This record gives sequence, structure tokens and C-alpha cells, in this order.
Amino acid sequence: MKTKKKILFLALPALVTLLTVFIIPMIYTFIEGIATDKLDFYIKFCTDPFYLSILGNTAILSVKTTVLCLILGYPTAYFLARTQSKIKSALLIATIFPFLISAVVRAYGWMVLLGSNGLVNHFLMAVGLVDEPVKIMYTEKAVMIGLTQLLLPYMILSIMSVIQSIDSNLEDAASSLGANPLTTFLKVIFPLSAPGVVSGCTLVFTLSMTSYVTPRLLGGAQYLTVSTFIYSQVKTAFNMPFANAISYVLVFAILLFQVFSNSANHYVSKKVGGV
Amino acid sequence: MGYLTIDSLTKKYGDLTAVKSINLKIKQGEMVALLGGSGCGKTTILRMIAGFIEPNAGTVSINGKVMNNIPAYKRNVGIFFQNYALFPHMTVIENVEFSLKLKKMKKAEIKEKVEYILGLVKLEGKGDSYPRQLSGGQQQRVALARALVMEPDVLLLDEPLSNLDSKLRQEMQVEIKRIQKKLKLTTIIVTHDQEEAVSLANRVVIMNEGEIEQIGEPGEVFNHPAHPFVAEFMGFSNFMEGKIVRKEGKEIQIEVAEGKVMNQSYDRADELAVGDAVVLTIRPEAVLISKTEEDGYAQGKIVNMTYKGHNTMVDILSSFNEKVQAINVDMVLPKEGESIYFAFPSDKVIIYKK
Ligand SMILES: Nc1ncnc2c1ncn2[C@@H]1O[C@H](COP(=O)(O)OP(=O)(O)O)[C@@H](O)[C@H]1O
Ligand SMILES: [Mg+2]
Repeated sequence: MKTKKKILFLALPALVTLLTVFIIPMIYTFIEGIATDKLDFYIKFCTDPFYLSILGNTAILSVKTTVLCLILGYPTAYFLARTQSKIKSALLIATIFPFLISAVVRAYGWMVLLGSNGLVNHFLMAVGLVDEPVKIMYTEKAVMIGLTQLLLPYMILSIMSVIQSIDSNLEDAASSLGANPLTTFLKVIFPLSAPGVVSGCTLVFTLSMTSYVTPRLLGGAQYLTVSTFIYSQVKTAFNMPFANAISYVLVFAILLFQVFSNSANHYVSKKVGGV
Repeated sequence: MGYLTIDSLTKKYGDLTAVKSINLKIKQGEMVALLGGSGCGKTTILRMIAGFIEPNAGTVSINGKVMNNIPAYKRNVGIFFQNYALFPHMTVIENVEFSLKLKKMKKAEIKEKVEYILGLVKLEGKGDSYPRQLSGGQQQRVALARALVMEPDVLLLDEPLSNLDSKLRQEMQVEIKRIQKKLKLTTIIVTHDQEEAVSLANRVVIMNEGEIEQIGEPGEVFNHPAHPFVAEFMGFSNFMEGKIVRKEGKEIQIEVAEGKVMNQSYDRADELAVGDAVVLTIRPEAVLISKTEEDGYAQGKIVNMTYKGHNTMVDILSSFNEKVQAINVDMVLPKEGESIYFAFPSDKVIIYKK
């Protein structure tokens, strides 16, 4: 008990900073908004199908991004966790390398690739798959591609660290007991890596729900997400109170998701023995 | 023809040759103990038999069938892992029935087999516990049950008893032997405990640095170790180097130090010749000690005594400055620093040519 208190001290500087520059101002703007406009702007958001569809689309985009990251990230994570390769550390650095490049730069990179005059369309037309350029830019696809590239390392690292902690003898044990590689994966590796999957999905989903730069540059004004819509309310519609209310809708949506993911996390950790 | 045949099996890790061209034939239902120090390649051999790693050279065959290209999950080789490798997200029952479920056995049959095997390893009532809720010894028995329940063609046990307290260990030794005989399991048991090896196995294989030093029946390796290395493993101590200076029939004289000679009568003296450099050894429990001077006894001084409960380990410094270790069971001993007389009975001494 006593050491727990002492350890809490170490978190104090961060706690104080967060409290003064983040949490108190947030609570203040929330209360201020309610005090001046009651729930008017919340009601406005929640009763208009257009606004709701933006929230819905953002959630769908985030789910798709999360699933894509999981599908692409899991095999990579497994490989990185188990490889005996001499270039393992180089591969690890390659995984984290995108972190070193700003999201803005990367979004511009995607614009070059995905535009109607971009490399992807040139290629598709050259091999005769399509006759005229496909519209990728300023659609959900472009944003999803951009976000997946941006967030994939989070998924890989979350899952990799958990797989690394799984005793590789367990895989051998399963195979000696007659389980083929697929069964071994489904019955042993995947269940035991579930905590990493849950935390990776939580990270990727939350980050794509709230991301701004990527949807802004790749989705533009034609494909709106909650964050780019908030920005347009501030910068183009000059409707600050509405922007404020939508921000809190997003905050509560994510809090709700966190509650869900926490219980999922709790459930799987209990199942696999708190690894 | 052996049931399990290992032929010129070799495994290299980079520059290190962990297993060097091992040959071994094991009959059906036979239990062989692999004995050797840590890092001598025991686990590596088991992993090659189970099919987890591929040998660089050589073959493993079971019942006349070469296994090299058959994946582990088709070999029906049961293995007990040194660290148990129990599935942490499964209960004891789920762990044990894992192999049976994969064989698509009927539920009632699975239940019956699992109950039977859990009874054998004395884990009734623990079926619904998770491995983390069990003690080390209990986990070890779950791992054993999991390997046994699949009725493997070959059973591999990697130090299965190392974490048990001595009472449970003895019980489990008896159990393993009983189950192994009953199910007629062709078994390799890895251990670093010589007593365990000789009491459990039909044959004992002593390994050193990836090579086999000696294969033999327990009594043979225990009483006639082929090399000083094996002797040390089998509990011999009191290694003394020397040179044979005189030999008459069975009576030989060994110079163990400048001007210090030992007289020894040796049954297999004809294998030795004057001038041979030799190593002499005897078990500490075979050394005779006496408080008074007796015929054929040498004089020494007690430098240390370690009380071990049922016996006392006595460290003696002989008058020619050799350290001698003896185990004393019931004699009332002089004090440390006092003089003592000791002798090496000729039928207990082994002399190796260097
Ligand atoms: N995967 C591996 N990579 C490199 N060296 C290994 C590997 N596995 C085992 N070794 C080495 O091979 C030797 C034999 O190991 P092992 O068979 O585990 O010994 P034992 O079970 O007899 O203690 C050791 O020197 C060990 O360091
Ligand atoms: Mg080992």
C-alpha cells in the first residue's frame, strides 16, 4: 500500500500538467457551453441526419481502418516476434520509421499517388484495368489508405510485444499433441495474443476517430469526418458554440468506446491469466 | 532393429555443434535415460525426435519409418517440456483433453480417459483449475498427464521430476515407471540426477558436449563407468592422477606425487603396464575410515566435516597432500583437525589409463 502511494508521486508532475492545461479547461468549456446554450447545439447535432451521418461515417471509417490494420499488422507482428533473422532490428526500425515523418508529408505523398493524375491511376490505365481515372482522392478510400499507413505501426507493436511474451514451447507443445499449424494458431496463439489485439485495435480506432490531418488532406471538403467538420464549423461557419458541442459528442463517443474496450481488455486478460 | 532409431544425428547452431553424430537404438517399451550436464544437447536431441527442429545430418526413425520429413503434429510423439509449456488459457482438463479432441474422440471416451489419467497423476479435483492456480509440482503432473493421455508411440520426458520435493519425486518416479511399463511406452527420460537415471531406466546414456560417452545398463554404468567423466557423473570422486611404477600380478604401485607411492590391488591390472599415466577414483561412500592405524590404511587429517542427516561427508587431507572425501554413516568421528586413517578397498577402486 505504502509503495503504491510512493509510486503515485512519480506520476504527479504529469498529473498536474494534464489537470491544469487540459482537463480543467475542458471541463470549463463544457460547462460554459451548457450554461450559455443549454443543450441546444447537442440537440441540433443529434436530430439532424446529416450531422449524425458524419459521426456514423467516421465510426465506420475507423472500424474499417482498424480491421485493415489488424489484417495487415498481425502477420507482420507474428513474424517480427518470432524471427531469428539477423536483420530483425533493422526490420523493427523500418516498422517505426514512418513515425519519423510528419503526417502532413505523408498525406501529400498519398495525394501524389492517389490523385486522378497520380501514379496509381496511371498504372491502372496502363495495364488496362480501367479506362478512365478512378476517383480515390477525397473519398473514404483515400482516407482509409492514409490512416492505415499512419496507424499500422501501433497495431504491429502492440501485437508483437504480446506475441514475444508467449512461450514458443507452447506452439511446439500444441503440434506434438497433434495440432496442425492452423489449429495451433486458432487454439493457442491467437487467444493468447488477444490482449495485444485488443490494445492495438483500441489505439488504432481511437486515433482514427480523432485524426485530423489525414482526413483533412485526403478527404478534403467532400469527405467529412467529425474532426474536419468541427474545423469547418470553426473556420468557415464561425459557429464556435456548435463546434464546441460536436467536440464533446466526439469526446463522449470515445469515452464510451474506452469503457467497452476496457471491459474487453479485462475479459481477455482474465482469460489468458493476466499475461 | 530398434523401435526408435537415431542414426548419426547432428545439430549445429552456428559454430556450435550441439549434437554430434549421435547413434542410439531403443527397443519398444524400453526406457532410456539421457544423463548429462546442462547444455550438453539433451533437449536438442528430444526436439529433433519430436520434430520441432530439423537435424543438420542424420535420421530419426520410429518403427522403421524415417521421420525427418514428417511434421511434428503427425509423429505421435508425446513430449514433456522442461518448463511444462501448459496452455495458460486452458484449465487442467482442457490442457489434458487437447490431443483427444483433435483426434475427434467421443465426449464420453474423452471424459473417461481424462479422469483416468488425472487419477494416475493424483490430480483429481483439480480439473477446473488454471495452471497459474497450481503449485509447480502440480503443474508438472498436468504436463505429464497431457503427454501420457495421447498414448504416444514415443514418450520424451525432459527433466520431469526436477522441481518436485524429494517425497513427491520418489512417488512420481514410481508412478512414471509403473505407467510406462503398463502402457509399454518407448520412453526417453532426460535427467541430470544419476540416481534417478539408474533407478528408472533400462539403459542409461551418458552425454558430454553433444556426444555419447557411454551407453549401458544401470548397474554397468554405475559400477563400471567407461571414462573418468562418466565416473564423476555416477558419483565417483577422489580422482588422483599418478603413474604406475611397479606391477606384480594384481598388485600395483602408483606414484601419486614426487616420492609418494600408493599400493593398490586391482582386479583388472592386466590392462595396465608399468609407466602408464593413470587416474584413480573411488566413491566417497566406499572409502574406509578408522580412528586407529590399521593394516593397509594411510594417514590423514580431517579438514572439514559436513553433517548431512543420514551421513557425514568427511574431507581428509592425506599425508601426501591429496584431498580425499569419505562418507561416514555410523562411526563416532574424531574432531576436525585430528588425525584419521583411510583405505581404498581394491574392489571399489577404478583405474583409468590416461
Ligand atoms: N535455438 C538455439 N540457438 C542457438 N543455440 C542453441 C539453441 N538451442 C540450444 N542451443 C545450444 O545448444 C546446446 C545444447 O542445448 P540443450 O540441448 O538445451 O542442452 P541441455 O538440454 O542438455 O541442457 C547449448 O550450448 C545451447 O546453448
Ligand atoms: Mg535441457
